Amino acid sequence: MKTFLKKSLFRLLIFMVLLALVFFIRLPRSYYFSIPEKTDFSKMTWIENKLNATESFDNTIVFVGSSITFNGINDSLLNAWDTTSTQYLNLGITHTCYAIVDAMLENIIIDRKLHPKKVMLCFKGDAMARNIHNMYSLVADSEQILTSAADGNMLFVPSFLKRASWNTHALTHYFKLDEGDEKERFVSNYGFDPQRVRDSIEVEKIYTRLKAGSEANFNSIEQEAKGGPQSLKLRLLLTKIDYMENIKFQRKSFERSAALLDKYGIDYDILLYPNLISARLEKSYLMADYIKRTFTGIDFTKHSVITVTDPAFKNASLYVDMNHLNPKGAEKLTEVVYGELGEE
Amino acid sequence: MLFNSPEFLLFLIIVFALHWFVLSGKTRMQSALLLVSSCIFYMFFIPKYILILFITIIIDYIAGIYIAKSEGRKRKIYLIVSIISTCMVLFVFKYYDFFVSNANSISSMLGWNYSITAMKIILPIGLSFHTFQSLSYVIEVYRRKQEPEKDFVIYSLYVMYFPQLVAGPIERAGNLLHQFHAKKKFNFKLAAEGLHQILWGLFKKVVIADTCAAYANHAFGHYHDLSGMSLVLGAVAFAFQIYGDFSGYSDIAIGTSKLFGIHLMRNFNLPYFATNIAEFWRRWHISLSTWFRDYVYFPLGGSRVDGWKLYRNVFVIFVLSGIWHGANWTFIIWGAIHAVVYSIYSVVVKKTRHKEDLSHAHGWSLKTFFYGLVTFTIVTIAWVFFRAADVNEAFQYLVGIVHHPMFGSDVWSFVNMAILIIPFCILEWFNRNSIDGVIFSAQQIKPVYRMAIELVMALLIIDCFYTLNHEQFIYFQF
Repeated sequence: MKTFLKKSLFRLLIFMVLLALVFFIRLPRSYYFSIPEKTDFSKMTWIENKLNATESFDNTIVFVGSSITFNGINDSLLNAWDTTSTQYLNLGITHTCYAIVDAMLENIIIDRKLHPKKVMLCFKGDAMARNIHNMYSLVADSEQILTSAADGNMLFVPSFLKRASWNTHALTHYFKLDEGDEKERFVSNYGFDPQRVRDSIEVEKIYTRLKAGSEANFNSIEQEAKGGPQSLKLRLLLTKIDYMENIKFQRKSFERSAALLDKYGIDYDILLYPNLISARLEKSYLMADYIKRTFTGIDFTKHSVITVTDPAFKNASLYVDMNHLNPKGAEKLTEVVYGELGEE
Repeated sequence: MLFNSPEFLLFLIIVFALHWFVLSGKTRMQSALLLVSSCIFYMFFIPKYILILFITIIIDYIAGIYIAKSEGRKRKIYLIVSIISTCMVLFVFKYYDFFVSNANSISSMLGWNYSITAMKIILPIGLSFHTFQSLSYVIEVYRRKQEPEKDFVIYSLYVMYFPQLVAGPIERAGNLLHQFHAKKKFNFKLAAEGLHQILWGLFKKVVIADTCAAYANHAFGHYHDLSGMSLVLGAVAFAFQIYGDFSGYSDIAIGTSKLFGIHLMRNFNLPYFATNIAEFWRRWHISLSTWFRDYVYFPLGGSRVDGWKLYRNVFVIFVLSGIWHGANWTFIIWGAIHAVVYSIYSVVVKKTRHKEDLSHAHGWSLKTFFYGLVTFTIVTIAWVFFRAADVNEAFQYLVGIVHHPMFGSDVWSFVNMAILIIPFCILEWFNRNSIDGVIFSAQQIKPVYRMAIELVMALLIIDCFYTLNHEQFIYFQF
């Protein structure tokens, strides 16, 4: 048995060394960013190309966040409305998490030396994005992936293996059939992608089905805000979310992003999106309080947490589901955000 | 829990550690551990379905004991009760809806205003496999070739043993039961061989089958638009997909079992190197073909009967084999094609006294290569029916091969598949004399070269695992 274990571990060790060697190979960024080109995440390729063509961000306000940003902030409208030299750019990516935003901001600010006028860090209205994005191992380089382990990335091993496998894929893609679409999916001149329109009755049905989960999120935030003893069930749930769903790592990534922006003197605000339940319960302040309570390293006298309290967002006709706005909703939100930015 | 999932790796490490470190020397406890592990493994799919499995186990366990105790008519009655109740579970879950839809079609064709409602229930995973394994036990006990198993834990383990629970090999009681009773001592050579075989199986599944699946899915999804040659290559892709998928699963199952000191039978023996259809069936899904041979073909008279009865027997086993795979006409036609080809082959053999197995045991010649190519072509044509969603799609696919322009620009994307398939066939060829199909035995190649090849294989597994769409094991649905 000892010999078996010794020999097996020896082989495993050699394989790990080989994997590490492959992991550290640094291929051109153009290779990594060509991978999502014909997938649901083609916005990533678009962003890379956009950044390659950008010389300065000095007058640009950029929005970073998930699909809610991607489909909710119409940057072409903002550019049309604003007659000053300020430009607006939507860098939202479907399914994104703060680990990707952090890697992206590091690339923009440190590697490309592009310093935006302002960064809008956008959050889902009732919770932080969960889990790690499928394409994290492409956007983050090997050093960032290694650092993520120290930051508590529970999916470090898959992230590591995925990076190594994308590096191997550069050689092996010749025998794999590219099953992607014929064309790049996202081809707009701006970073905004309008969602399709869905009947309000359908949206109400989705709302009825999912509101319990969202209410539970608010309840746990509310209970936490009140302080005092937490039930064992809640504590277990929060621990599960923190570790199994990588929320702790997301918080850490968000803190890193905020610290990076502070270090380079780049202004930023936090934008909390409306969703159907937070609007109807009128509890959007809860998530704002949560952010202020959680991220103690941020000076909230300098950076605002923008919540959307317009009652119009209680109307299902602005949504395609609980969280995502349709083009009409996106226009309305863009208008609210434009107003908030103007006030500042 | 899939064999190609990280959860299975963790599960295997835990069970292995408990088996050899905590329970070493305690044979009965080791069997109990394997049974509990098998239950956990099965319950990862649909937990409540374990009750169905247990009902079958209890019926056949009791039937085995009573068959052995009784004589004459009573003995036969117990056997029939056991077979009917076991097959009834299979019928209800697997064939009822197929039967209902066909009965409804016939009744509407005849103008009867009568329809039966389908149940639309999800098929318990691996049902056909463990049903056949249970059946073989009661039949063997009835034939007095097998003592009834009195230990319920051991009998349950025989049906539920997790490495082969959901997709075989369909084991025989005579091979497995005594191994569960025997005192186990850790065997370094066997365990090391098991690991090599697991790696080879994973390579076949994750690299070969999943890569070919993309080509096959593309061909079958766009068969209206593709050129004839692309459709041919799409069918070839499916032939390698199903081989990599199923034989890969079998290798992982056999390799996993070796880690616990238990030998499972070989299920595949280079079937695509067969030079005739009979040889193909001696090399493909060996545990199922020998099951049909022993429990259906031989009782019907096998090849010792004359005239039409011989062909009837051939048709019965192949059509049954088709039905075993699934409740769809495509599988029945697939079986029928093999029956026709096998019958023609039997006639040719009789008339020409052609010797079978010209193949690689004696080295290859141009003649054997030609026979091999013809056999592979026939098998691949039959696979089109196996893969197609319905009979109409299969015919349209085959018609497309002839009617569409032979070459188009789309062919080039399929040709890339050769970069993988040709080296794989060469590897298989060099591997042809290895024990149990384990890749490169120590006698064939220096350990350092073997390790280098295996490292590359492992790297490719990681690569394909993360960069390809994962396909479910095809045989899980059976």
